[in-house]
Amino acid sequence: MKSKVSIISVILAFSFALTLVGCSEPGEKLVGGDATLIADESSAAFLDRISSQTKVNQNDALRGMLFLLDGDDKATTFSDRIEALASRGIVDAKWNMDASRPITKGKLAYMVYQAGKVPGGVILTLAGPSERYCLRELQFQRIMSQGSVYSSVTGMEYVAVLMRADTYIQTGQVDIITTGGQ
Amino acid sequence: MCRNILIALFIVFIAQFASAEKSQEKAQVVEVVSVSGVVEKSVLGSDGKDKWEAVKAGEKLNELTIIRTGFASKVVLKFADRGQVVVNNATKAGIREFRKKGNEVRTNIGLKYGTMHATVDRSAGPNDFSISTPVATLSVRGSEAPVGYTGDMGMGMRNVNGNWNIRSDNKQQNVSPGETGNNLLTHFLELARQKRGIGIIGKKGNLSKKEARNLRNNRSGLGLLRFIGNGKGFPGPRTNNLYISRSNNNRNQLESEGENLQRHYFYYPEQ
Repeated sequence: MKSKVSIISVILAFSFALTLVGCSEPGEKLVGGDATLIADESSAAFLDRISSQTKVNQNDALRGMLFLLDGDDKATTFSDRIEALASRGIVDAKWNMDASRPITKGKLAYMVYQAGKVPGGVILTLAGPSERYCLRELQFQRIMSQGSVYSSVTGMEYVAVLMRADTYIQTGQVDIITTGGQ
Repeated sequence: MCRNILIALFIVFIAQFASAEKSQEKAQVVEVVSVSGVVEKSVLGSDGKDKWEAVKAGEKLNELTIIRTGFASKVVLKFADRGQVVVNNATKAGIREFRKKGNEVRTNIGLKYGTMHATVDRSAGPNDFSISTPVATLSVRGSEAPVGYTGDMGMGMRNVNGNWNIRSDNKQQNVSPGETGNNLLTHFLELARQKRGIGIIGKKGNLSKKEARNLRNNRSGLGLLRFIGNGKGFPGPRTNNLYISRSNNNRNQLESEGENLQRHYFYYPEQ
């Protein structure tokens, strides 16, 4: 009986710890660091191009974040973009990054949360940003739509999230006309 | 034989009538009032392909011009004396139609993604104004509304003034001033119920003076716990829709006075 209780308490403690820190992966692996993108692309052209894609790769996703923050992407390679964003805390240095792999909702939520300086809830305040809780917070605030941390992001969805983030950065709120009237 | 000739004559008559109708219509130009940030328009290049050029204030745009904006950008378009459209950040839209026939002006704007704020003026004459999104068409005959379409959450609009009509999937819905609408034609009360606050809790739970006073007067008797929620529909301070019920004492008093009891809904922020 006593051993059962101790096993249950260990499981509960483990789940609580996971809840606090999120299911983060060990990382620091970089693939395609020298991958480049179209030179001299404006933010309007970038959004137009991305909106027609079925998936957004990580290289494009990072370019979008640079456009959102600086209005321009001066980085030439994927590793330059990671460096530019990691130095500002927008990208977690522990992430496994691959220029050609699709960006996940969790990673996008983390970046938008950090870029928009969105005020988080209790868990985010205590444990710091994690993909899981950033996504939940942005879903609550209607900046991102429903979906799991590991699901990929479509082009139109990416454009929509960045548009809401841009509006949020400028005005401090998300307009209901960008969230389907809700 | 005679029947075939009659059909041919009828077709020729209809075609001529249609072309005559079309020739009476005159294409109008849209004026760019102001530009901020990155705003581009498509133009047909010498090689027959679309080229994108920066839009400048004072420029005239014709029908079938496509406009796209970047982050923190905006362009104000003036549709002659019939209205004005503000194309907001991260938006792609096109002028599908802007024609005048007699005194009536017909305008149709296509919105691929993003948001715009349309103000339609019918003081100068009849105005058939519509905005088409991939999922619905909005039409109006004199009013003002911000409209948006996003790939993940669909179309949303908030009616500021006048009457708007949303058509989607062979169904339609009228939206009155102060109401919101979407492409699913959800009733605005249901949309208001789903609305939630996005700010953190400030002083007095981000309530206005009027709302705070109403809470004081009509709270459900839970004292300091009233902001947490009473399990009877009061969803807490981070929601926009506050359901406020009268206290039992108040209720008994009102019942004794024979007052008609109704549920009181508050929409936050106040509309």
